[in-house]
Amino acid sequence: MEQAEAADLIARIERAFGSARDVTPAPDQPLHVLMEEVVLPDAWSPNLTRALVIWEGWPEARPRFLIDEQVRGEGGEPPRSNDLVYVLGEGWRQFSFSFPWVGDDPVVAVQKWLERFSVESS
Amino acid sequence: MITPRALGRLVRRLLPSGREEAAARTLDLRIDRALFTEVRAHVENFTRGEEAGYLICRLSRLDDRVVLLAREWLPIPDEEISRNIDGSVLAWTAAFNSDALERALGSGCTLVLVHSHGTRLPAFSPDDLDKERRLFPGLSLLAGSIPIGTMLLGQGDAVGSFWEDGCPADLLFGQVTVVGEQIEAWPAVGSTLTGEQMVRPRLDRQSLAIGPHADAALHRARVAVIGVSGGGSHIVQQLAHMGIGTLIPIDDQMVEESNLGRLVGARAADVDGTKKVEVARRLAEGIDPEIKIEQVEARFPEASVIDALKSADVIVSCVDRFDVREGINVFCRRHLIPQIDIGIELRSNGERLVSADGQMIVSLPGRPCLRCWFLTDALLEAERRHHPPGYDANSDAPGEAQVVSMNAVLAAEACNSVLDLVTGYSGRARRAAFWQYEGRAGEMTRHDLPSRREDCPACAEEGLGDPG
Repeated sequence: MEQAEAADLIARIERAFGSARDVTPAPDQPLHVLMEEVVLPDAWSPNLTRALVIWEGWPEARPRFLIDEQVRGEGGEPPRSNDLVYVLGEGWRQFSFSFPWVGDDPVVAVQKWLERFSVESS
Repeated sequence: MITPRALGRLVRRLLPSGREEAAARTLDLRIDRALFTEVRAHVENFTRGEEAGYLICRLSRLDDRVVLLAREWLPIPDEEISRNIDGSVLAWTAAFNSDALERALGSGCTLVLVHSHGTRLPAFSPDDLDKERRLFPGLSLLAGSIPIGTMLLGQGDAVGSFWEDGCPADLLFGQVTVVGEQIEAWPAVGSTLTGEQMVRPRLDRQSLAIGPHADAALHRARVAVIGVSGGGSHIVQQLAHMGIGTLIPIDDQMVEESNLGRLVGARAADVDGTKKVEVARRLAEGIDPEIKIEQVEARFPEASVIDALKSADVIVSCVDRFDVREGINVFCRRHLIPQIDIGIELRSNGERLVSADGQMIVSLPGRPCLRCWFLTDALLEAERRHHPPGYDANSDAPGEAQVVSMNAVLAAEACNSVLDLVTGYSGRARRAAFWQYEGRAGEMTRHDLPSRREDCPACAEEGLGDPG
């Protein structure tokens, strides 16, 4: 991704979600954006949390979305069908969530992923 | 203005003697052998007099210590240095300090000033101490709570002094750990490690084979084994026999009936009632009652596992999934820890074994990592497609084919590599390499590793340590 394109994407995410910064580990890597103030529905705890979005293959493919490993639903369980993965020196939780992806709006892509937390509590 | 942390440190120093204080933390430096060779080549060259430079380091914080991870060497150029008549360094330019500090802090790093007097049992000279007092209060105020300091290399030993928030830090310098084909410790002068030698009677035959110094090194070593089932249980058993001082078995699973065919140390009574790490503990302590076991009942990369791994000298990965291997590979790169990985894939046509292809890989900082060649993007992508998130939690997922004796072959070779990393017994005959195992014919072939991949995403994180 070109530098200007990445800067625009980060600015749009920041405007929409309150925080976003580039944490890409190396120049040749896909853009990694850390969102430090993601708000989840009340059923999730903590409901103000961090997410890491990796824009690999963007915009042909949806971004990879990872959530802080501490996030739990009402039953104390993390999102169903999940794995812990090691990214940027710590564990993040990835989870299965299907949605058709057509488009090139990064804000919509993040909103789609966040819908996972609205449909059920775990 | 003095910060609250600095004030706290001053108050602790003023406490009346005899008052109980928390145990001091240790500061170690971990460095890849190639970089250490570069540092030594500079500071041990006395042609012009003393030389010095800065190591740029990231941090790995543990409960009881801080490990500085060396990433880059900035020798002070000769034109920047002025020397005393006896050749000792008088001063260098403030601009060099400023550039070095900006470079370090800009990338979340710190600085360690390194020089040498070329002697054993090194000690800072009055001139060194005077320079330290003039330089580091200011630099450390800029670095804040990140320790910054100076180190004097001897000949196989060292001394160090560190500062935080403008004050001398509550950190005792422990050792320089040089990570290469053999892990080498340059302990602090006065440390109990200096010249340590021991021969435990139970290891007498092993010491006859690999020398009298091996036992002490094995006793000091901390080895983590991730996954203590089919392959890892053999490794736990052999490392305990070998005399490793501290074992860190890591696994979150319970013993199941289908494990009894390959889990060394498991008993029928363990099924559905005993964790695999408990079997590992029982097995190792049964062999060596003095072994220290720091088991972690969790799965990589849970926080408790990350914390435990940061204290290991060597990590052995015995896991099924490629993406977990990749995570461990990146962890080892970030923390400059050697990784030994084993794996085997058995294929059957339903009647008989068609293929049994295994590997044992030794991956060292500064050398090709697993992602440089073995864990290709295509391999990881294919696994993501076939094993989506949550796949492992599915109790209907088919198990992998396994044969205990084939696991044992790979595990034994992995233990030879642990032994070599800790003691150097092979005389550099093994090094970082790839052992290919063909289980039907029983062939083990050693291959040198291919070249390092220039755009390797894992190597790009080398020495980054903790996040942030």
